Amino acid sequence: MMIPIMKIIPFVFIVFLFMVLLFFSGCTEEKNDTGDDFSFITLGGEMKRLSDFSGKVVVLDCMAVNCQPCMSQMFELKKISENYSTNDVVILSIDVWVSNGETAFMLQEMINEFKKQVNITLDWTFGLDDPEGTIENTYATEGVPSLYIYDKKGNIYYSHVGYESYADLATKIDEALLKN
Amino acid sequence: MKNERTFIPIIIIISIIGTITGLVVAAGVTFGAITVTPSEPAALSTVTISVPISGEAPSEVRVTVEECNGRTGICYSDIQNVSMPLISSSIYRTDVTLKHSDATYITCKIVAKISGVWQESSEKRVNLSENTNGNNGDGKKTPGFEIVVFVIAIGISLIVIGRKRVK
Repeated sequence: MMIPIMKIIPFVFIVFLFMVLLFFSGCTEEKNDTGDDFSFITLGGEMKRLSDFSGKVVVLDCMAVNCQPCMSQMFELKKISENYSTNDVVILSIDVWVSNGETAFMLQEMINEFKKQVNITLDWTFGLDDPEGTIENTYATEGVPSLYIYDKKGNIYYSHVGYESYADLATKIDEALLKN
Repeated sequence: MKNERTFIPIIIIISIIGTITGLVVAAGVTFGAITVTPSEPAALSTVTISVPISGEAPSEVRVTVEECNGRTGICYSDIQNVSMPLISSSIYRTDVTLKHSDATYITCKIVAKISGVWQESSEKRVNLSENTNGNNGDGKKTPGFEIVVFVIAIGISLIVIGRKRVK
């Protein structure tokens, strides 16, 4: 006996809706992402890893010297540096355009010029990606600046590509600080 | 990034970048003014970049073109590095096709190899004209929106067909 079509149609429609809902749920970005324990060389020549800052909220700034928005970002990062204790929040600015020819000399000159021209001391950790662009290929594939906030356990709590104001960053830092 | 409070820092930033790049300009070669045609190109268009270089003849000349979006404050990582052939009496020229639909400006810099050492010019920034191709601009899409419309249309069609068969 053929099942009447009118009885099948609602069932088929519901199945389609269910599939659509499943599709939408797959579009949500999971932000509780365990960041890998990347390493970088500081301007002082020391090798550091993300895990060295465990127990603190880390603001990772993937930047470049030849990037105007990255320079604007420095002013906002300076405000973070001034308003949060280094016991709680650490800023890492890593030049990820080493593969584009940027060097430690250029990065140091940029820091020197900030001091010389606007009397601002960029007093947080600066470093460089490796020549193969390991950090760039993982965290800054779209462009710079690319910003990440890690919680105290080293999980990525927030990420943003492009310039971000101090106010928006501070909101996310405060949330990460409250997170266990 | 558009308000007045960022205007002064931007001027300072430009001078900082200019100072850093200026540090490696050496005696022996002089870069003339970089010319970009058209003067206000559209995103994704092809631009012609030319520059006169005087002094010691370089063995190689290249231009780097960086695309940025001033609204979102991002510079794209895929910087183009294109060879510039000598066209005529110390003028070097090449065409570069821009790659990002939402770029609002580009910065160009010339690098020339003199006696095995790369020298670089100061940067030239060129604003791009507004993209009026009817695109969404930032290219963002709402995932699944078309599928929702499709599903609803299928559902309504099945109901209508079913009713016609019953009649």
